[in-house]
Parts: sequence; C-alpha cells; structure tokens
Amino acid sequence: MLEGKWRGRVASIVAAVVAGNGQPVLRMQGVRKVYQAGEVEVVALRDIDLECRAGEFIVILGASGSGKSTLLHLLGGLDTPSAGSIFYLDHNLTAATEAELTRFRREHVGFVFQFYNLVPSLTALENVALVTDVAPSPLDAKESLRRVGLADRITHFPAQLSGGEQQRVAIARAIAKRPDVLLCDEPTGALDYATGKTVLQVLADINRELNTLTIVITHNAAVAAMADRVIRLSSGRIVSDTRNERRASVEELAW
Amino acid sequence: MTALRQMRWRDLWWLRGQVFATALVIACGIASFVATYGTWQALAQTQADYYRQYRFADLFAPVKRAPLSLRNKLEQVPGVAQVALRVNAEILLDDGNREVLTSARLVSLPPQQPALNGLYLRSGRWPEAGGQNEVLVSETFAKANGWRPGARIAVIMNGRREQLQVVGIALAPEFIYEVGTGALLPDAKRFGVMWMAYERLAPAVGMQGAFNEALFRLQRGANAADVIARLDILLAAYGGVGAYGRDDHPSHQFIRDEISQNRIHTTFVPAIFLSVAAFLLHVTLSRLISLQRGEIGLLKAFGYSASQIGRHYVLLALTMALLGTVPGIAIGAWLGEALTVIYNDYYHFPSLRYVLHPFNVLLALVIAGSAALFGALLPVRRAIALAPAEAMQPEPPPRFHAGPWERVAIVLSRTPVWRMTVRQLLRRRARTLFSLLAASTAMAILVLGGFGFDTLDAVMREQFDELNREQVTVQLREARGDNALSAFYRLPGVLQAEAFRQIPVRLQHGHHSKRLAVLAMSPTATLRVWRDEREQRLHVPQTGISLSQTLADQLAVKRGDTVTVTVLEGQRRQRELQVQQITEQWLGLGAYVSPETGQLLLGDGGTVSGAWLRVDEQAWPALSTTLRETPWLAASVRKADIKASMDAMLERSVEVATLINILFAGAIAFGVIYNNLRIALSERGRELASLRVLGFTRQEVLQILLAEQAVILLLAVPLGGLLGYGLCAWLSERLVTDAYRLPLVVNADTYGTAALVLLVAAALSTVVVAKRLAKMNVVDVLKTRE
Repeated sequence: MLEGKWRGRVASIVAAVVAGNGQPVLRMQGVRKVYQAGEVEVVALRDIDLECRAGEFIVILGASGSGKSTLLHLLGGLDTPSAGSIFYLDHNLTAATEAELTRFRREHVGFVFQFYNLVPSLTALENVALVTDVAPSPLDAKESLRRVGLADRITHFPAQLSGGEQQRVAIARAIAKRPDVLLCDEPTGALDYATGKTVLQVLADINRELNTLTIVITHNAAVAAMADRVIRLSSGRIVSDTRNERRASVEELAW
Repeated sequence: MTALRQMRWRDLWWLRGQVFATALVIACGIASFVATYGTWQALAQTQADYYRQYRFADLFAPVKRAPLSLRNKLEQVPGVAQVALRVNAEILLDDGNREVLTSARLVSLPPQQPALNGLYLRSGRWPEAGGQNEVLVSETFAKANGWRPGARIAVIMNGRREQLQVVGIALAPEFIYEVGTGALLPDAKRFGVMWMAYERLAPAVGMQGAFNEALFRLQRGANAADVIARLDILLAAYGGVGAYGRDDHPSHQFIRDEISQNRIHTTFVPAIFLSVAAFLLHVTLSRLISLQRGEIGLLKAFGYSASQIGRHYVLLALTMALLGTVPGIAIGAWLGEALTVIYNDYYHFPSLRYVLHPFNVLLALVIAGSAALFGALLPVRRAIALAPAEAMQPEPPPRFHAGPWERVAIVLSRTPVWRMTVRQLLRRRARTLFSLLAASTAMAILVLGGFGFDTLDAVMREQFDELNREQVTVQLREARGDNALSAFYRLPGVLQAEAFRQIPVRLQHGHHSKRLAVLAMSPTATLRVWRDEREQRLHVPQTGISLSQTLADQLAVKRGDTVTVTVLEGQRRQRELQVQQITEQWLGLGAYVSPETGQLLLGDGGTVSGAWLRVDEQAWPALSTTLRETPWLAASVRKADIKASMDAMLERSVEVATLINILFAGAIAFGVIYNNLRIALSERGRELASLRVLGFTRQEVLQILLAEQAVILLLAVPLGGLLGYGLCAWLSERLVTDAYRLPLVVNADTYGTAALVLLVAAALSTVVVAKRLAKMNVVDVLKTRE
C-alpha cells in the first residue's frame, strides 16, 4: 500500500542527500501531547515544530520530565499527539491507523532503548533475525552484528552478554531493517563510561556509513558535541535548536 | 495485619482472572466430590436402612410347589433364624388397548407385614382376603401406568380373565431394581410387581396350601453356603431350583454394583480436579511472589516476620480455594439432587434423598484447603526464604543458555519466533509437562464420557441387531415336549419359531461356582447367534458346553477345561461338561448346550421352555392379543419394545452425564490455558511490547503468545486421546458385572468432539487474554525496568 510510493520517495531522498541537499524525513507541526494522569492533565509537549532531515545526527537534551521521551515516541509512531500533525515524508502519521503505524515502524524506524529489550530466549543472531525475517529489504543479520563489532558473539543469549554487548545487539537489530530513522532513548543510560562510548561510536559509524537519520535523546549534555544538531527541551517546549560547527569524534567526548 | 489484609484483597482483585480460573476448577472438583460422595452415602445408607427396616431376607429358595407344612423342617435347618413362605406368579395384563405386552409378578401377602421382605406402604391400605382381588402395586409400575388406589386392572391369571382392584401403592427392598424376565433394564410400562393376599392368590394359581418361594433370615455367624446346601437337599423333592444368597439376587446385585462404582467416582474425579487446581495455584502464586519481590523485601525490612509473610500468602491461596469451594458445594448439592432424581428412575427406595451433611461440607473445605496448601507450598517457601536486601533487588532476567536442550530447540524450529516458543517450553519443563498433563486429562475425561455412549451403542447394536434376530420371545408356563414347536407355529403371524429350554443349574469349577440358567438350543439356530472374540459365528457344540467370556472369567475356566453342572430341578443330575467355546457377548451371563446335551442333563422333562419367534409385523396386534390369552404362556417379550425403552432410559442419563462432562472438562482446559496465557503475558510482557515496537502487529504478537499454548494443545489432543483410550480400556476391564460388560469401542467422532471442546475452551481463554493484550500500553511497559 504505502510501501511502493514510500520506497520511491526514499530513493529520491537518498539521491538528494548524496547531492548534499537533505530533505525533511520527519516533520512536526504544532504538536501537543496531553496525558490524563488520574484527574489531572499533564501537558507533556506543547507547540512543537520540528524538521529532521535525512542523514542528520540529532541529540535531544533535557532533564527528566522535559518531554523528550514523549517526543521520541511520537516520532516513532508509538503514540499519537493530542493536537498538531506529524509527517513522515509527506505522509501524515497523525491520520494513520494503528495498522499503518505498525507498518511504519516495521519498515522505516529502528528503536534503541535504555534497557535493550532483547528477547531473552533468542540468541544475538536470532534477535536480529527476528527483524530481518519481516523487513522488506534488510541487511544480512550477521552483517548487521559485524557492524556493531559482535561477529564473534552471534550464538550467545542476552543473559550471556555484557550490558554494552546487549545494547550493541539492540542497535544491530534496529539497523538491520535499513531504517530511514534510528531513534535512541538514553542508549547509554544503563552503561558504564567506557561501554557507553563504544555504543556511541557504533551509532556515529552507522549514521555515517548508512546515512540514517539518527535521533538520540539523553540527559547527558556531553553527548551533544558529537551531533550535527542539538535540540534542548524544557517543560515540553523546544528551548533551543542549534547546529554544531563541527561534529566531535567520540574519543573527544568526556563526562 | 490490616495493611496485609488490604494487600490481599487488592491482589485478589488484581489477579481476578486467574482467581476465577482456579476457583472454577476447584468448584468443579468440590462439586463432583460433594455430589458423588453425598449420593454414595445416600445410596449406601438408604439401602442399609431399607434392608434392616423391611427385613430383606438373606437367602431365597424358589421351588415348584411345596406344602406349607414344610415350614417346621425349614426352621430347623441349622443356621436359619426365620422363615417366610410365599407364592409368586407371573401374570399378563389384559387391557385391549395396550400396544405393549405387560407382565406382572404377583407376590402373596400374609394379613399383615410379612416376617421377611416387608413392604413400605406409600398410600392406601393392606389388601384383604375377602371380597375382591385386592392388590398393592409397586410405585413405579403404578406411576407408569397411571393407576391409583381404586383403579381396576384386567389380567389373565392361570388362563382366566380376572379383575384386580388396586387398594394401595407399595415398595419393597427386594424390588429396588425392578426388572422383568428377559429384560435388561427396568421398564415400568412393561413389567412391575403387585402383591395380593395369600388366600386370594394361592387358589387362583393352583397353590392352595402350598408355596413356591421360601425366604430365610440367617442366624448371626451362620455359613450361608452350608445352609444353601442343606436347603437344596431338603427342597429337591419339591422342585427346588437352588437356594441363593443376596449376592445372586438381581435387585441387590445391581444396587451393590452401583454403590461400589459410585465409590470409585467419589475419589477419582475430584482428585483430578484438585490436582489441577493445586497446579494453577502454584503457578499463579509463584508469579505473584516474583512480581512482589520488592514488596516482600520492604515488608521484611519494616520488621514483618517470615511467618507473617508466609501466613499472608497462605491466606491468599486459601481465599482463592474458598472462592471455588463455596459455589462448588452449592453446585455439588444441586448436582447431587439431580443425580438422585436419575437414581430414583432406576432404583426405588421409599425415600432416596440427597442430604448435604454438615460433615461433608467440612470435608469439602478440608480437601479444597489441602489442595490450596499443597499448591502454595513451594512459592510460599520461596517468599519466606527471600532475604530482605536480596528481595528488593529486581529479579534476575530469565537465563537462557545453550544447555543440553538447545539442540532439541534448534532441530525443532527454524524461525526465531518458533525458537522462542520451543525454548520457553523447554525452559519451564515442569510447567509445560504439567500443563500438558492437565490438558490431556481434560481430553481424556471427554473421551471417557464419549466412550460411555459409544460402548452402550455398540452393545445395543450388537445385541439387538446381530445376536438377537428374533422379534418376540415367549416363555412357557411349564416345559413341554418337542410338539410345543408346532403350537408356536399356530400362533397368528409366526413365520419362524426356534425352541429353547432353560435349565436352572449351578456351574462349578474349583472353588468358583455360579447359579444361572443354561440355554439348550439347536446348533443350527438362526434367530440367536453367538460369536467368538474375532466376531466369527459360533454354533452351539453338540457335546460339551459353551460359556460367555464373563462367565468363563468368573469361573476361571478356559477352552478345554471341565465344569461341573448340577441341574437344580427334576432329577438334579450332575454332569461334567467340557468347555468347547467361549462366546463374546456384552449383555448378561450365558451358558449354552445342544438339545442333546440338555436331554442328558435333564433326564426326562420337557425339552422346550420357550421360543424365539420371527413374525409378520402386520399380524402383531392379533398375535399380541393371542399371546395374552394363551394360558400355557408365562411371558412374552417383544424385542423392539425392550430396545426402545433401553434407548430412552440410557439417552436420558447419558445426556445429563455428557453435559456435566463437557462443562467439567471444559473448565479444566479453560483454567489451565487461561492461567498459562495470563502468566505468559505477565512474564513476557516486556518482550511482547518490544516486538510491537519492532513493528510486529498485534496479531503477530498474539500468535507468539499463543504458540506455546497451541503446542501444548496440539500435543494434548493425541496424548489425551491415548490417555482416554487407556482409561476406557481400564474401565472396560473393570466395570464388569453379571448384567453387562463394556466393549472397548471409542468412535472417531468422540475424539473429534473432545478435541473440539478443548479448542473451544482454548479459544475462550484466548479471547479474554487477547482483550488484555490489546489494552497493553507498549510505551508504559518499556519504561519500566524488569
């Protein structure tokens, strides 16, 4: 249904990006999100306008409760806004049905979470294969794990891997479908310093090699230096949206 | 403690689905216990009281005709405490409008309650000797025919038309199960008992000053076999056909077998349900305690003792059990009453009433409580053992690693989705096995229920369509010579007649003996045929004897062995006969000899005591009238009538049983599958939510959740089928009575229906869980850490 059209668009976007002319892949217009918590209304996001272009590496910074996770869930089609519109290319996600959103996630979005969310009963390779089995034109599962440096751990179960390794499996699983957008929610939140940096390196490499729009949310301000673009959220509003002159390499980061 | 109590109620509400499933299974177990145990008690107690109160005799001695003056001699037989003498007569009803042949047994009465085999007078008064032919009628016989005190019944007695006047309705301990000659089940439309004053009955049937049945009460500690032997010698000259004890009394036999079968049900069925309930409780509580690790740690940190925490979970388990027990007792009481109604159809007591004894309620509570404690044992021990600091840490994630079962998983499944399923099943092997066992048991119970129907159907088909090919069986009042056959041919509409001679005998082999009537019949008979276990037609042997399998088993003989045959009438000859054949027949005990061998046994006396007839259906009304009016005929039975009444009777009880069976087995299947799904949803919620994020549709995620249960179900169908077949085989070996044996026949549609019930129960639980899954908020699940 959407697939054919979207695939054509993606090809043209890729062409445009190669030509140095990044087009908006994800776009938010006047987005507002209100949660009903008991009898109180909690406004998680208000008046968000945002454009994310192909190939960009975006870091979204904010304290906890600033609305950054909500923003990520809306961009990834896990949730729908209370007001405003969200577009993937020229498709209005706000008008999409549940089934269409599922398909959107399946074909175009890769998620990485703080707590990995691997399937414990599947090996590293099988966790990736779970996605490659259903995606339309995936990477080879082994190739995907090689990219995150886990070629020699493919038969291990999550319980047999370290936290950093588990997160890299999660990244391999997210990129295996060749997503148009990779959404990472505190990907280093549960990791120690060294392991965290390894994971960030993998994300930077993927972004560069596959030209995937990568959005990382974190409360760790040090990560901002490696981004093309840094967006700061506070109390549900974008308070700043700046471009870095130069993307710092991961080795340069310190916190 | 108040806080803990509040927590308990909150947990019960939160777990309401699983609480319901567990309570449902417990309710079934307790209901079946309360119903069957109560019914068993009622039957056993009522029978004992009835026998005692109405002085049911210990021994029965039928004779042809003996003078009343024999009483003294009988009373002097060592071991005899009391003697009652009476006259029995078979009569035919003579109501021109009747479609069916109805016969009655008339039993003589003294002016007041007889010393033995008393009567319970339901209504009316005792019959008097003067004036008219006053009778008491057995309650069911009266009900089926619409007679009340004051009614008049036209009968043929000793060849003469007579009018009987009903003066009362009665019941007797010797006719709890009232079945006529040649019939296999009671049929009150076609057979019943009546009582009449001796002074009226004896002269009417040519028995003035005589009796044809003696009843005996034995002295405490008397040896029944010795007394029987002495009585047989004493009564031989009067045409005695052998005294027998209660164990050979048809009504007592049936009721005794029924009571002992009921005893099996009271333990077997509830035990199955309660083990399943214990399993469900175990799984639910294990999961709850895993989820509440933090709370347990916190409570311990606050200073709650281990025993307080243990008590909390034990009380939770007991409350869940109680929630099932209370409705279970109510349903059980209702079911017990319904069962008693069915029993009252078959068995006639003055009052067989189901009573819910307080002790049984207590017993039900104790049993359900024990099941709950058993299920709660391990999880509660784990909760008690948790160290507070450790408890407040999150539980470590499930550990999967390449264990010895990994090869199995890889061989069995190719795609990741299937591997998840296979590994989950293998990781929780005990749970998988028990779930499989429980679902298989549900299947087996259903197969067993279907078997009840299939086997009876097979018995009826074989008996009525293949073995009994006659339409009507007639019995002579007295055995006659071969010329009787031509008399049968003179009856209207008779196309074919084949004579038989029933010879009352005692068969003996070693210390086994059995009293029954041997049938002497032509080896070339076509209206009755016998078969061996390979369904090959057998012809009655010229020499020797042919025995039915059940009888051979009872006497512990096989082909080629020799049995001692003692004839219980006439010259009372004794002969050794070789067992030539074993026939396979499901109904009744059978022994068959050729007419030549019959002659050898009898010496003299008539060679014909009855005949099987093939008749022209068109001539049936004329034949039926003639049969009623023919004085030399004692009884006639039309096969179609017997078959129809058996069908109706069985259908009624089988229908109720099948419905209960489906509901109960369905409850097990639903309980197990629903509980498993809910636990899986709780344990794997995070995993399923991440699959949704990865772009798996809701249906795909549901399929993954269901896959495990589908595997269990798919294995349970053949396994349960097999288990069910095994149980049927065991039962068909075990449920052997003199009246019937059950062939091991399970039709394909029984398996089909059982599988279908299992699927429907699974589908129901799936629907409930699918709703739950639809409500699952992916984002919320992922936000929390395990």
